[in-house]
Amino acid sequence: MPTDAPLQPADQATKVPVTVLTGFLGSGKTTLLNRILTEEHGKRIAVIENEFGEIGIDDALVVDTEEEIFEMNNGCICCTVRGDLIRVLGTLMRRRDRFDHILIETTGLADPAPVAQTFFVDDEIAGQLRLDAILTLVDARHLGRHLDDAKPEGVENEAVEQIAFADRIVLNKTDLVDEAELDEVIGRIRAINRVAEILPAQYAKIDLGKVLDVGAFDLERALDVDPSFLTDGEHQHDLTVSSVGIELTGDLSIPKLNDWLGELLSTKGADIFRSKGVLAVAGQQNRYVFQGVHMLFEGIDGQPWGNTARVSRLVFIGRNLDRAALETGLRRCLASAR
Amino acid sequence: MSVISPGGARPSAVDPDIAEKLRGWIRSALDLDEEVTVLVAQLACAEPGCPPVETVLAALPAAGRRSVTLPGPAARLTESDVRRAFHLCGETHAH
Repeated sequence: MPTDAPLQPADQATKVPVTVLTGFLGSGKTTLLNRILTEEHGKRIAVIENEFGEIGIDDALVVDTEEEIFEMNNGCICCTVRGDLIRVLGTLMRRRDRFDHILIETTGLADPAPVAQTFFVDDEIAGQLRLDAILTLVDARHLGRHLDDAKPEGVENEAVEQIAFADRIVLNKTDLVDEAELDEVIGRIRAINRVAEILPAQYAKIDLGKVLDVGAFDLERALDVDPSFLTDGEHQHDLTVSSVGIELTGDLSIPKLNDWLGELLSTKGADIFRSKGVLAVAGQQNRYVFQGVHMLFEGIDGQPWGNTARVSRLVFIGRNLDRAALETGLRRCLASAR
Repeated sequence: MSVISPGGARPSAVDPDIAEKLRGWIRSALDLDEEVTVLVAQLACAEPGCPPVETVLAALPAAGRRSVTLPGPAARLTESDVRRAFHLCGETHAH
């Protein structure tokens, strides 16, 4: 096991925020993109797009790319990045003075993981850019069909993955469904991802302040989630991809955490799409905050606990998650546990 | 600072000066100009058979990506290591 310290985020304020926009064809990505590029929000946005057939956008810095998956380490899922993205980001950063924000529009079928991992793996990118949020657009009328789309064994359902990875979900075209259908589609989204904020919309009209510069990957905001999620007793065991939130009072032991998290991420990391946590570590005055994408993991010391209760909170979103095993595993990390 | 270091592949930051030196060596070994993107990443992979730390070096031109994975941390690599690796076993990927 490596013993080097976790990555320390550099000066976040000076890094260019990057929004990753995912969603199927027809979900309204182009409409949202046009709104982002034309509305008065004071930001100059560079767009990287790789979806063929999209319309051109005037007065914007738009770069076309082709999807190029780069498996850096024998197909290991955690070491898979987007070569095209690294290249185009490198080119863009030579024109750093021309924009304040980068928006990456992925194809409807793109796997969000290599895109997200690109920001963790390449030091040069990590030093200049920060992944701000993964924003997923879904079509209220057709989402159910995409989620139910049967895939051959071993092939991922991209709609499920895009929801699982999302920090914000724009539920678009709500005018095309009635209230009952809307409730149903929200329920299906929540069954996969209990953490992401859902923004209902028509014609992709949303408050852009809720999707741009939101700091969803900032470690200091690692667990700004609805507390009810963590204590919610309703668990849907039949779902392949779901969310598990755990809350635990009591101080945790670093060696035990290292063993548990190390084992968990190395054996189940391929199935854990996103993880976030704020931990109370024995002997430490500050919160320990972390987050991960598959096996990639970074953590830092956060704010002091002060007078607040030292309660650890973790969230996992992934495939075939075993809530009971995760809860037991964390409980065994308590410093007081035998 | 509490040091939590779970296993599983994850990057560990390469000293920026070392990374810059390595990028220069990659460009020199493959005769690439400054416009070509090169990548230096240090990985700690817990998969069976992987060394505790390995360094991935890659050149990402618009066509014909080349990459090598070398055991050990980036700081230990020499220019001749980089040159030899790319000339002997650099994987080339057309795309």
